[in-house]
Amino acid sequence: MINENLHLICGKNLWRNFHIGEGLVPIIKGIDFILDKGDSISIMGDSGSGKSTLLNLLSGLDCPDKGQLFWKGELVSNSSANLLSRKRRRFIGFIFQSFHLISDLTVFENLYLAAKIGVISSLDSEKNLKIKVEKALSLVRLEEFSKCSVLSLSGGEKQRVAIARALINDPSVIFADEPTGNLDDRASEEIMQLLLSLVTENLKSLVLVTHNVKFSRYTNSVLNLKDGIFNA
Amino acid sequence: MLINVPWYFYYAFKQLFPSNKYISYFSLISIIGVALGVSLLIIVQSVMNGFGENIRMHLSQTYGDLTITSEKTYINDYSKLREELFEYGGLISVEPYLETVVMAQSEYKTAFPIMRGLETLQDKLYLLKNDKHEELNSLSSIEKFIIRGSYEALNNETLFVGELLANSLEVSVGDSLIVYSQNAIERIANEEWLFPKEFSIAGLIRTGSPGLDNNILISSLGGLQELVDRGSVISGFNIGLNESGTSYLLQIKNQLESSSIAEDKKLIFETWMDKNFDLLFVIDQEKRVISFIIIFIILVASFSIAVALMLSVIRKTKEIGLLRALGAESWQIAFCFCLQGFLIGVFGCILGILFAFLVLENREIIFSFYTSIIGQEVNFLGAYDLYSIPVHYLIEDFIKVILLSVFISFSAALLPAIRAAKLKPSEALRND
Repeated sequence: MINENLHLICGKNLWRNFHIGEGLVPIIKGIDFILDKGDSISIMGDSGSGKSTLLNLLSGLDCPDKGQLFWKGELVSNSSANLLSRKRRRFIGFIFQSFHLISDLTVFENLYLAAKIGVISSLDSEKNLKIKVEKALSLVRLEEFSKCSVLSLSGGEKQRVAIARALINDPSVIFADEPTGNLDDRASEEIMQLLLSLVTENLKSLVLVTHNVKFSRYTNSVLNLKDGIFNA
Repeated sequence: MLINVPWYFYYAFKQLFPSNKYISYFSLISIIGVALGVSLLIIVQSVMNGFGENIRMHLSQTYGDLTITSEKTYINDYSKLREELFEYGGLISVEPYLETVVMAQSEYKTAFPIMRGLETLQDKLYLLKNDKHEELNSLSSIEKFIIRGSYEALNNETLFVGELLANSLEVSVGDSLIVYSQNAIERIANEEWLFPKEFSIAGLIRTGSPGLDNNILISSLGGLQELVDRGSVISGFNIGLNESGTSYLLQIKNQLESSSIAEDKKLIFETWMDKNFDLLFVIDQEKRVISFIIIFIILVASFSIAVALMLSVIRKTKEIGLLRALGAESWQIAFCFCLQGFLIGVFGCILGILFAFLVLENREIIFSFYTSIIGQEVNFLGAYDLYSIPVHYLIEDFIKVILLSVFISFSAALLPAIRAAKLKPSEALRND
């Protein structure tokens, strides 16, 4: 029996169906999931196995059709989208395969915007936000790119900005959806090392979706997803 | 630019004015659209106000601030009434006049103009000498319209002729006119004779109102009283006030209307606005209708805002998904896009007003350039006795235009904003 109060993220019997053609097809089929503080989990599986869907469910970007999701012991699967957004600000950081940086903004502004969205009290003064951004940039060693347009960065540099953005509001969990999917081998290795070291140093929990077996071994545990369920 | 504002203000501002370029292309097109509409509204309204103001000025100068007449045709014993009117205060001049339709005959032509008898300079000097409150400079209302001759020349044997009437009668200064009063014609029916009077033309006047300049003779009050042969009567008083402004004028009018003199003497009080109600109504309506038509230009501009923002929502679907993932709420996303519409409206207004000022302050150069292009001299202004395009700025027009434009721009952004707010984060992030 899972005790949701003991875990950072706890999913119980999660189901998610999608309309495909004329039918309703289950993509996630009754999955149980547990993530504890400092834990790192890789989710592997073939394309279409439901990895990204599961990640969306666990991060509150999507709602399960059935089942329960708990964040720090609190049931959130019935919460409104706006409440989930508010809770997500300082609980979850995202890293995406295609970076999702805002092209009209500079490196600094991308991080600054994320920091501003994460503002929850008046203690976050403009000066503090600026310090946070500078600190995040130094973590990923991109201080000199601060004023550059993100369009001028290489793939590896973009992903480093994305890592800095994921960490800027000091979240408890990092969700990384194939963070090396658009990078070459050298850059992929570099990014994974950076991500894992930052997660470990800052005592974050990590949910990594990847196709790469080598990278999956860097995490504490590996879950294989096939046809919407975990394979033993 | 780091300013202490919520993230959605910052993001909206950055959407319009990204760091890597001065302004986004979509924003620029939208702002120009609003600016054109705003400038056109300001230009048209200011020029219409200019025409209206000029016409009002002409009318108030021609007819005086306030006219007092009686329910009877004539007012007898007007000196006492004049004194009583002065008791009420706020009046700078109380000028008696007699007015009647006459038949005027020159050597060549005959006309049936209105003849108005006014006090001469001698009459006024007499009043001043006897301390009758009046001030000399406020009494010579006719003086500013004289284009030939001088006010001093007006006496019981002379008159001034409206410029256009003089042209149609083919007379000029120094010629004479034989004038028959209406009373003379009425007396013929009773087989009585009232002889016409010969006046020498002392000068010409131009009020700027073609209707009046084609139909007016100005004589001395004494000269016209002689012609009418009703004794020392007047038709009424032209009142000048010691302060300008419509509200003050209406206040004095109401005061006088409710006074005991008004009831006793059965007096009628008419402002220059009452006398020209139809014309003023037409001017106001004209401005309203033209402004109404031009509002459609702003509506068209608002479509450009709506389309630009809708395209922006489609283009930035993934970005919206990212903002949701970062913790943005749906109302904040909607607010971002509404704010962009609002900012487009504000910047469009600022640009539009500046452009309108630029055009209006250089209107003569632009107008002459336009006439040189079309190869025709556009000379409609002469009909209003104007020699340049008149402009009059009204702060309330500016406020109305700004509020309307910003409201329309804001409303145009609502639909894209709602669409953006309704995007599901997981679907938005997946969007290709």
